[in-house]
Amino acid sequence: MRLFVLFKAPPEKDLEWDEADVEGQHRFGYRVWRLVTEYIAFSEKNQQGVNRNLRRDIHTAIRNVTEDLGENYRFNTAISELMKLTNALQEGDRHSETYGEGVQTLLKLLFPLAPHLSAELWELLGQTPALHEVPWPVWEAEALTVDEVTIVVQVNGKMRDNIVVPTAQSGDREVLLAKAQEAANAAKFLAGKEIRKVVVVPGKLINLVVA
Amino acid sequence: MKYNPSTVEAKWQQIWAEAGADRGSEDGDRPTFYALGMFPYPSGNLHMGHVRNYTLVDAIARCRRMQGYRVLHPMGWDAFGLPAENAAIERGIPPAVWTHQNIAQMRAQLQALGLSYDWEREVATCDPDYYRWTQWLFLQFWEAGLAYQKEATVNWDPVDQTVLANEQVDSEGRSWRSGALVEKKKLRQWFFKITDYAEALLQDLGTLERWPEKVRAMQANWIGKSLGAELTFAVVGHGHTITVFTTRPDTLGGVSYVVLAPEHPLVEVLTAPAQQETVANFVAEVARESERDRTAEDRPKRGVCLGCTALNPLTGETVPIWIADYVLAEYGTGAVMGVPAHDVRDFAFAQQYGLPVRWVIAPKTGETPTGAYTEPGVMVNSGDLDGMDSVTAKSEVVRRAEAGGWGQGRVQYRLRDWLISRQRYWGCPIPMVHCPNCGAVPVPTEELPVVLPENVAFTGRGPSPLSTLKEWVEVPCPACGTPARRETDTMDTFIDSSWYFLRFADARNQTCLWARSRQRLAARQPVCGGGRARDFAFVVFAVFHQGIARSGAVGF
Repeated sequence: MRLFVLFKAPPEKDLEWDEADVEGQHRFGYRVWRLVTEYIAFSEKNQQGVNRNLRRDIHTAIRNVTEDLGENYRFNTAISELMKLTNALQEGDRHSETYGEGVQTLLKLLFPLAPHLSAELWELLGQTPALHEVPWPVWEAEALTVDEVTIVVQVNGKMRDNIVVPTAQSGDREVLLAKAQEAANAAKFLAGKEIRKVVVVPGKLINLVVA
Repeated sequence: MKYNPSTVEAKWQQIWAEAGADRGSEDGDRPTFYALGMFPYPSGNLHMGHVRNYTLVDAIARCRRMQGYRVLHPMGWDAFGLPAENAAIERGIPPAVWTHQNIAQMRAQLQALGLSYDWEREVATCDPDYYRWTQWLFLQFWEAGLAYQKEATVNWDPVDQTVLANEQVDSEGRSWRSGALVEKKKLRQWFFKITDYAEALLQDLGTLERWPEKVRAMQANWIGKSLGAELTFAVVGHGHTITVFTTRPDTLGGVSYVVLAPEHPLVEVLTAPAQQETVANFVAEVARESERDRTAEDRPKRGVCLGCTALNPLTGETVPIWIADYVLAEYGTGAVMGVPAHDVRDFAFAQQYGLPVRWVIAPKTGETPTGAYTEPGVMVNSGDLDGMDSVTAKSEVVRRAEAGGWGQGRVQYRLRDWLISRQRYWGCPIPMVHCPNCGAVPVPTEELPVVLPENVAFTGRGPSPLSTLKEWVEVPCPACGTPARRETDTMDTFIDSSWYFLRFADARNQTCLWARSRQRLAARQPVCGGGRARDFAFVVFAVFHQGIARSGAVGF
């Protein structure tokens, strides 16, 4: 019910009651409940490190919900953001530490909107102090940076190695060339040879023609 | 593991209450935030609109708390008003009992929703601890010359011999209880002089950048500023003159008739003997209609002529004098000039009653107008004004009026002074005493509150229950000691609710409305959740701010 009235419309619009939507918000509440309780029961959590993609989803949610609840009072978009984060967690790898960060963040962000449900889950998760005493999460700019891509390194048209570069630089000839020359396996095929020509397919591959 | 909402909700509500998690802290250096929902009328049940607004504000409050703000998030009750009195008349339950039962029920409903209110700051406008300060505010207005008495019309039930609120009159103009046709009656009533602030309010609207455009437009329309002139028409064969307000002095040459409100004091004086019966019937008929009906756009306007004429001060021509239902006595001068050629409503009126139409402004395109032409254009049929741009002619006519002593430029506002007195029981008593020697005398502030007596019988008939309580009404004059009478009118409940957001900052203070030291928690502009329909109350807030500031009693 709380979620329904918040999700339904921006404050300046009039509210229209809709049973199906109330049901939808109920389902969202239960989805969060299931997601978190299943995670509590999951015995292999925190065994792997950081998942950059999931972390980016988490911090994007923090940034957007902070704007929606703290600045623009757009409750419906705040709930959409939380649904997105819930989806990301459902598809995420529960082994990672990042997953734990994601579950905790989801509950913190949900607290103003669905305080009882999130306070209860927070306690079941074994977190102290109680959720109403926990500060609002702060997003990290660094976690928001869009990731890296893998570029294939060819020598004379044959695949010899892979390099990982920031997405923003995946078409930068100088960066790719420098990285390709440092790549261990490719370096074997380049040793003592002269690079005659460099072909770059941005985001995909770099081909070094040598003689 | 299943989610069981009822046990989980009850559990956390108890934990938060015991921890005092929702209390607004007065201490510390952390920033403050005021999350204010409009407090409800305690009808007994929350409706969806309440639930929505309060949930939105609660989400904001909770988020701000987590962000480290000291949050003021209070709740209270707009508890005076007619429904409690009606319940008393219909079911014999005392208004105070009915109201407090409803408050208890709604408080439980709000608590069950888990709304994070600081209940230690709860106020109800019907509690003496609260209305003592409503009365104090009234006295500040009185001292500043902003509260005054004058005659105004009320709805009168001739069968029950009682004053009715607008809500007690049905769509056919009959009393809710007796079924009698409701009459209009004049009573001496209390007003707040909000018209002094019309321009300031309009200017302030411009600074409210974060308000939705729609709401600002509504407010501006309500204030209703128009630039124009007051022009004086001499009545032929009488020593009297009629002053009209017009926003279109440029159309003065096109006047076909002058029209007064049926309640205009000159109507009786000017009516020709042959017209007396017709006029009297028409006046009585209009007296039964509501203001809204009289001015509704989709309704044909009706009028009768008085059988006398007035002189057009610009052209020297004579025009007939009429009265019509669409002219209101309280607005402007209670008289207007009828220019069918350049006003849609006047055109319809002239068609209906066969009055002449004379165009004095023509479109610049050179076309000949046929209906009411309301746009600017070029002056025609206007003697030496012919050929002049009508916008220029507007100021030229005002200049000539001022030079000739028959008029002057004026700014007019639709906003009228606020009629604040009600002939009802369940409201805040107006803290005044009427003395045969001294006139209206304020109750000294140290004697506040003037407590609303509770040993009252309700019949729904006759005078206000308060005025029949001899032991309450009869008091010595505070100034000279002569036997005098308390004011028995109570205040419009909008006054109670116009300042509640201030009291929340210092709800338990017994020595003043709120102490300056407590301002810090509420100093930030509140975030307000409430229905748009009630946004116009903002104007009232603003008037209060200015009125209080003007009295110098509280520094804002």
